[in-house]
Amino acid sequence: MFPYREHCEKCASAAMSEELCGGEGVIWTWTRQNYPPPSPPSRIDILNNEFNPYLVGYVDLGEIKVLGKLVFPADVTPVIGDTVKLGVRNIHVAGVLEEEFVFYMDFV
Amino acid sequence: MSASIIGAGLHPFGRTPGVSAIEQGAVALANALSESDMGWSDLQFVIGGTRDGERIDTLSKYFGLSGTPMINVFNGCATGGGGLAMAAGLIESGQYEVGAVVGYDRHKKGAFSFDPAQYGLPQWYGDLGFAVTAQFFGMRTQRYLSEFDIGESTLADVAVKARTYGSLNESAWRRDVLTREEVLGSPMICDPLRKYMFCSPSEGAAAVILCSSKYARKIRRKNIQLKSVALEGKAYGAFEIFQTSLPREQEEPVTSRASKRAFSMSGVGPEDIQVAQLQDTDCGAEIIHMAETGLCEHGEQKRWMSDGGGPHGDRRRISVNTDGGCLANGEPIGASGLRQICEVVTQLRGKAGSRQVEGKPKVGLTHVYGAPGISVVCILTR
Repeated sequence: MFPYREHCEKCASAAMSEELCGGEGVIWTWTRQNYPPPSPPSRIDILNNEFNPYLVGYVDLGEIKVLGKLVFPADVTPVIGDTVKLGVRNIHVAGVLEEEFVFYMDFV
Repeated sequence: MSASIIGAGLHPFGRTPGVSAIEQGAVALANALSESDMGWSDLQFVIGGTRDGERIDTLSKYFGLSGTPMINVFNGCATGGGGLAMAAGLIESGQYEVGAVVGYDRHKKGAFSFDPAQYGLPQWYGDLGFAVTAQFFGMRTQRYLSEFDIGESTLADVAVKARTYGSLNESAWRRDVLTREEVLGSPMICDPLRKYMFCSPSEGAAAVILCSSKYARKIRRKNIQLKSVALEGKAYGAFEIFQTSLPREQEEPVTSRASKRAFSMSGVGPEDIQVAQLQDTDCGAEIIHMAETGLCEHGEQKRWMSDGGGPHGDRRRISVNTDGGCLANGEPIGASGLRQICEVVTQLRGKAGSRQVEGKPKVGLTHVYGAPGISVVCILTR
């Protein structure tokens, strides 16, 4: 499961260990957030009063499907099964420039 | 199960300025009591469910402090189903003979917002813009359409149907019809779901009077039998709302499990259902729940919705969300599950007027789905 938790989601056992999974996967499903998310709880800064829609999805990494943002060129619509690669980007959150993990479209 | 419904009542859904949620609940309860020709003093317990309204205990303002126990039950959008399940249990246990379940709510305009910590979700889930229920509905629909080769025209069919039924229901919020073009031309909210494919937070209330079958016979009331009320929760591996990851192993969705249990408890099968109310937070939810409740096969919805015919060939027709569902009534979270029960009761009694299902239905089904993955399926007969 992701992120790390002290107890197993399935059986609540505390015998947990961390495992690395590859940084490449395929889109299992996705959507686009086309309007500003309710705030609170969202703390994403909307700069210059201009909301930029963003993509979210579950990416199938083999052992696990992880929820995350997807980053595609503006003129490309994701398709289930598209290959994506894990990366990091900056995001303005409550006035601070932070890092978030994202899945980038894999350019062939 | 041997519980009976002897009264059902609503307060109209939509927006009622100046009327609090509990006041709307009191109106719904008064209507249910009047329908069953009973009074407040006959009730041995009351269960109430609301998200943004007052506690059920404040009902005493309208009916007096009679010593009647009042119990607050909340399970997200499945609140009405949860309350009904608890009421049925209290009656089955023999502790009480008759009681009421009241659902009522009054939400502000705009998308629902919630605190991720209340659902055990990490801080970043809220901070970075994932705490949006519409995202889950969009992603679930996206996956489902792709898996079963269903197009957005089927989603539009659902929206058009909902508003057509809404136009025939004087208690509904949205009474104007929509065309497919209007639906497909409305702004995209969370792909592939557009504005008119989503319900909106609203206001309203619904109440039912539940009693033991013995009590119904004793007081000689016409009754609808609650054959089953099956409540199931999230299982590991099922794709439900509010999950930051999903394991490789896949479990069947909670609605399938609740539905199977409801059928096995009641002794009737999906082929016996003549009218059904399914959770339709969005058009994708309705088509997914059609199959998950067993009313059709996965993928069959396309034909079902486009020809308006039954899912099992031409043998019969079944009508879904005959009061317009959440799409036409909006979603007052506490009230919707019991609104469904009221609609099935009305249909089984043949009193649904211009939206009455043909063929004098005898068996109906209701289904709610709530965060974080709870489902309640009820089967009612006359």
